[in-house]
Amino acid sequence: MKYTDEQLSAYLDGELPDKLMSEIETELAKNHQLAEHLTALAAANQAVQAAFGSIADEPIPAHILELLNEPSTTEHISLTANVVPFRQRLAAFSVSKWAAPLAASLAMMLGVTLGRGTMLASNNNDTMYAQLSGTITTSSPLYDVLNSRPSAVQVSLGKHDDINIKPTLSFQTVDGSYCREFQAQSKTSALRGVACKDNQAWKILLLNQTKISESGGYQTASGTASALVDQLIDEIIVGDPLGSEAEGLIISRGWNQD
Amino acid sequence: MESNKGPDSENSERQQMLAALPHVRRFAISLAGSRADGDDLLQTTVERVLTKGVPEDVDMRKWMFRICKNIWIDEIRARNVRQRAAEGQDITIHDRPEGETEIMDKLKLAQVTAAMDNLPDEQRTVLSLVAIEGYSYKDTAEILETPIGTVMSRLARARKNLAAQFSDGSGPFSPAQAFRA
Repeated sequence: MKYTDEQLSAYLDGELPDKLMSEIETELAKNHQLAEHLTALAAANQAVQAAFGSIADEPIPAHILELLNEPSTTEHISLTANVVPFRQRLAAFSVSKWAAPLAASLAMMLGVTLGRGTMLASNNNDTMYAQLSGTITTSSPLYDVLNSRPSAVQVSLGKHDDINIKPTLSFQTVDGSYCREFQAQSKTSALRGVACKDNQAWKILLLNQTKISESGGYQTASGTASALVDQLIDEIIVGDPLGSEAEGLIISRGWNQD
Repeated sequence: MESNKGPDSENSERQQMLAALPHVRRFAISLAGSRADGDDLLQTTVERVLTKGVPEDVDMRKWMFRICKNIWIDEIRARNVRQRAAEGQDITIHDRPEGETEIMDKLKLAQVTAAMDNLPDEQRTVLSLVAIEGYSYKDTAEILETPIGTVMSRLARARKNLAAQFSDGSGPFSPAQAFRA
C-alpha cells in the first residue's frame, strides 16, 4: 500500500499536512482497496465513541464531588464555624448533573459570581442547587437591592421587568455581621438565598434555585430547599429579625457594624 | 471577571476541576475498563490534584488527564490490581426498562470494552484521548509527555488492532464487511 497506517490514521483525524490530506482524498476516490482499509480503521472511532461517548453525561458519584467541597483552610467568609456543620449536612443530598448550569443561569443574569458550591438535588427533584459561597459585587443589580431596599418590597429588573427581586428578611449574626434573606425570580426559575455584608460586597452563604413549571407564577424554592435556608438562618441568627425601623437605620448606615 | 489570589483562585481551581470531572471520569473508565475501577481511579486523581496542587497557567483538564494516566500506568497497573471487566458485566447504566436499542447498545458497549481491554495501555490511552475526548495530536502528546510521532504510531496500531478484532463480523460495527466483495 502506498500509504502507511500512521498516515491513514492521521488522515482520519485531519492531522496531516494539507497537501497530503488532499492527495489521499484524491487517491480514495479511485482506490477501492484503500477506501476499504480506511473504513476498517475508522471503525475504531465509531466503536469507542458509541461505547464511551455518553459516559460524560452521567452524574459524578457524590463521594468524588464531596472531595471538592471540603472546607478550605483559608475561609474568606466570616461565620465559618456556623457554616461548616451545615455543609456536612448538605453532603447527604444526591447530586444532579444538570444542577450547575441551571443555577448558574439566573445567578449570572443577576451578576452573581459563584464560588465553591455544592450541587444537590432533593429527592422530589425540586431543589436544583445550593451554593455555599459566592460574591455579589457592587456591579450586580442584586447588590443595589440588598444594599438599599427594604424587606418585603419587590423590585423589578430586566428589559421587560422579567426579573423580580425581593429581600425578605434582615438579621444580625453572632459575629455582628448583617445578613439578608432574598428571593429572585425569572420566567423560568426562582432563587432563594442568604447573603451577608462583608466589606464592600455581599457574600452569599446559600443559594437555592427552583425551576418554575410551565404554569408559571411566583414560586419559592419549596420543600427541602426551603428547609435548608430556614436551617441556615436558624443557626446563625442572633435575636429576632430586624424590624422595618431598625432595618431602615442600618440601610442608611450602609450595613456597617457599629 | 478578575479573581483575586487566595481563596478566590482556589475556588476557581475547584470550579475548573468540577467542569473537567465528567471528561476525566470517562477517560478513567476507558482506561480501567469498568465504572467501578474507573471511579476509583478518578477519586485517586482528584485527591492527588488537591494535595499536590496545580502549576500556574496549566489547563486544568489536560493536567487532570495527565495525573490520571500517570496514576493508572505507574501505580495501579504496576500493582497489577486491574480487574478486567468480565464480559457483559458492568454495563448496567440505568435501572429502567430496556428497549431493544438499549440492549443493542449494551451489547456494543460490552464488545467494545472487551476489544479495548485487549489493547496495550499505551494504545488505549492515546485512542481514548483522540477518538473519545477529541484532543489533537499536539495536545495528546502534551498530556502524555511523549513525542507526537509516538502518538501517531500508537494510534495507528490501536486502530489496526480494533479493526482486526471487529473484522470477523462479530464486532459491533463491521463496515469492512460491507466493502468486501
